[in-house]
Amino acid sequence: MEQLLVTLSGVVVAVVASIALFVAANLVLDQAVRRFRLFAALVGALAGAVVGALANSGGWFKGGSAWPVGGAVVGALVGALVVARRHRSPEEGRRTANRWRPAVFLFPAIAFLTIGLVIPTIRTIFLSFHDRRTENFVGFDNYRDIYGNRTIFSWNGFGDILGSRLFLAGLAIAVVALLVTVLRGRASRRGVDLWAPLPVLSLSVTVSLVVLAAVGSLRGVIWNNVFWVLIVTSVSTVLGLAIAVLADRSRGESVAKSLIFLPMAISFVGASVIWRFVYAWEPEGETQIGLLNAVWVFVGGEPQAWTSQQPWNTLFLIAIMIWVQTGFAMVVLSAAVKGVPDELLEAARVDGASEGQTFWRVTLPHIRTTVAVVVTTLVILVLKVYDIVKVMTNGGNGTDVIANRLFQEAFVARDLGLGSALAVLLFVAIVPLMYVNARRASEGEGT
Amino acid sequence: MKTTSPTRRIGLLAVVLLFMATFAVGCADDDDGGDSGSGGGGGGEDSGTVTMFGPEVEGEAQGLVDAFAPFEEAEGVTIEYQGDRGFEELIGNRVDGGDPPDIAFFPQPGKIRDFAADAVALPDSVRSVAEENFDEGMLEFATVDGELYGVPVKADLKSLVWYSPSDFADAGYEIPETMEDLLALADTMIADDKTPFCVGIGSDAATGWPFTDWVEDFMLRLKGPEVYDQWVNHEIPFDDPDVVEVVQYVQDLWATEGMVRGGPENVADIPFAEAGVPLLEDQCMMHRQGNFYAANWPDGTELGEEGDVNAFYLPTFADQSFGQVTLTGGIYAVAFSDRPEVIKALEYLAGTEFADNRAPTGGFLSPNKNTDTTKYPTEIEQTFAEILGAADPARFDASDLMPGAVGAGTFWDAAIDITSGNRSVEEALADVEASWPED
Repeated sequence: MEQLLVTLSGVVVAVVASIALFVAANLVLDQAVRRFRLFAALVGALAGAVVGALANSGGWFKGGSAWPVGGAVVGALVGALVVARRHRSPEEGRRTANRWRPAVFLFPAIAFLTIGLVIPTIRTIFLSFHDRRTENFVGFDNYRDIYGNRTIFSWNGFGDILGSRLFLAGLAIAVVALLVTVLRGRASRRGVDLWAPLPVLSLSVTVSLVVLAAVGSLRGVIWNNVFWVLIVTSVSTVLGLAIAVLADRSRGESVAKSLIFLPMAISFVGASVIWRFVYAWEPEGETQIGLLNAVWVFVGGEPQAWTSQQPWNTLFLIAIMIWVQTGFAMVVLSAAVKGVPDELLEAARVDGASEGQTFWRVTLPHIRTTVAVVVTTLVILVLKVYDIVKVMTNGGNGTDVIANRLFQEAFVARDLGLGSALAVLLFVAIVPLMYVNARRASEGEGT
Repeated sequence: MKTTSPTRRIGLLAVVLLFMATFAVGCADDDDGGDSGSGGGGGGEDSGTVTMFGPEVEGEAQGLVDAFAPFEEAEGVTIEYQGDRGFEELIGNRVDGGDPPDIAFFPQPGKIRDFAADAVALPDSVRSVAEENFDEGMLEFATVDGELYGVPVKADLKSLVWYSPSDFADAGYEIPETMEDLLALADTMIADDKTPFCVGIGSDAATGWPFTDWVEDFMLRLKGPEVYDQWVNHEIPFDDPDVVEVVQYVQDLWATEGMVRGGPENVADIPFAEAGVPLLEDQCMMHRQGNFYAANWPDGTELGEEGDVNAFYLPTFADQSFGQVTLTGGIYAVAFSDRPEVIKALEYLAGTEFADNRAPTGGFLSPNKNTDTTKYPTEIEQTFAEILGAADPARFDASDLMPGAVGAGTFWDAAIDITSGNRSVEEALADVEASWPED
């Protein structure tokens, strides 16, 4: 209790001090207009105090508070006597003040971001080039370990994809669909159109089958992350879009959408606990307490330990994320679908377009940017998946993902080097997406 | 109001700056005062607080805290114990984050080596008490470069098989004296349409460890303590033919038709804490698990020869002569501060008084060879103490002695991979071998 009070009062003091610092900085700037000498002295004192504190921060000079105070005095003298010797007009002073005002306002945000984000990122990158206790520089050894570790990443099994039935079936579908499309295009006068439902849908099926073939053949933490991203993103987006369009303006829309959106209110850990019960397994002959096994046994199957059986157990974990995230995709896309101007849809119908064609040729192109936002947001979210895997299997049975593995390596096995390297890997994967998202956000500002 | 006079502005500025200066000075004082404060405060009627962090929770944690009551009274020290099942994942964070507990309880002495750089080498005052009360072998696990870093505070007896005395009596089964008898008994049970073993290796983040215990028990019985030590110390590779043979032996035993309830491929889905309970419902006849499983039987279960469940020593093969090999485990206390009250607490932990105070609360088996065995509250705990005393030789849980990355990592993964049939024994053990950290 006492400890808590000390901590709380510390926080209060820190907040008040930050505000005071901010107010003080603004007041100092105000002085630049009339009393330039005072302004210069104060800025000098501030700079001197910071330099003094930094110089003493490692306790290197054993000077205690003498260093910042001394720095402040020296800085003030330098500011008052040297910098301010050139007399400034009030106008010049005002310009100086205006030039520095944005910096004062940005400083708090930048300071927090630096302490909380930039420094840790740089430190993590730095650590990733060091050994497990971060004592010796080891160059790219940790990254080589990632590449060389069969449980993290390997090309083993890549050849199996090409031979798997799923892949061959997918290939056959793609070939047939492309042939049909090309022949049809030739027959009609409009030419070959790849953006028609048939080629798009069949190619999607092909891609899904190839991904499934990969799930069946490839092992390793990084591959698992790739599967998570591909499957959750695509299924959530497509399902969300389908629900948004089908429920649009239908009766009971709000009820249906609320139900789909509900899982969003549950944390990943909570959702995982729920799904642990759904996937629960009991030996054959016992009462199945798991929903899925109860149904499965009812229709005549043998009870299955869904989350233990490689390689498909990853899919059962992925289903949880889809269950949670489809609501998000649906809500955002639904808003976009409702934003498609009625005149456009009406014009399409007047021109004789079917409902399918209206959706495919009018609605979908119109909400393209929203779809892109949903996709990038989901990819970033899914790349960082951790909670679900942690709760369901803790990475066992070949279901591990990068975020869980980096925690295990860094904090359980205490190999900070390898853990940091995995973190950097995740960071590097996410940065381009963040960039795209940020770019889009700033473009949106312009319009 | 809109325009403040210049003088007032400067006054305000001065006040703000003064305030900040006070704040800065206050901060500096805080930093300095932190160290001296705890030392200086110790001079008063309260000689300080010792924080402890360990994996034991609930009843076991309470027993530990209660056993410290006489110490707290005598020394005027307050003990603050914090228990968390996720100890293994959290302790590294706390130590690396600069917030270590004064004393941490490590269930895996293999990890002490990882933490030796941060821990306090115990002074002679603790060492001499410990050497009086514990086997040399037990202290050796906690010794790094000749310095003692840990004190054993609790022992686990793992070479045990739980059974129901009444079921055995009804079916006319005898307690097996040799492993051959045990295996023959299991075959008889299968013939009688009974399932010999309940097995569950699920344990959240630590899923797999009961399998490693089985492997260790059979390593001792099939290959003997010498090979066992070589295996622990990595003097033979993890995928050595001897190791492969033993792991394969356990896996084959489990995979025998009808041997394990639910079949071996699903044991990872059965939490170890619930695994033995079907024994009470006659769904299986035996459950190989340590003495600590006593706490996992449902409330109201009578333990002991006349009770619902009892335990016998997992026997050895008659055609081997390695002695009464016994698998043990245990918890070690490691200090991260050398304040006098922390060292005193460790002296107390190493002494016989702690064990004698801890024993009566139950759920405890002392590694201290001078413990008064009459202090154990129940008949079954005295049985455990007897078996532990008769151990010749005892061997500490191998996975707990191996480096954390293996013993609390890839070995468990291998257990899951092997039992679920996802990888062959050779493949899985080759993975473990590859993960052994280089020095």
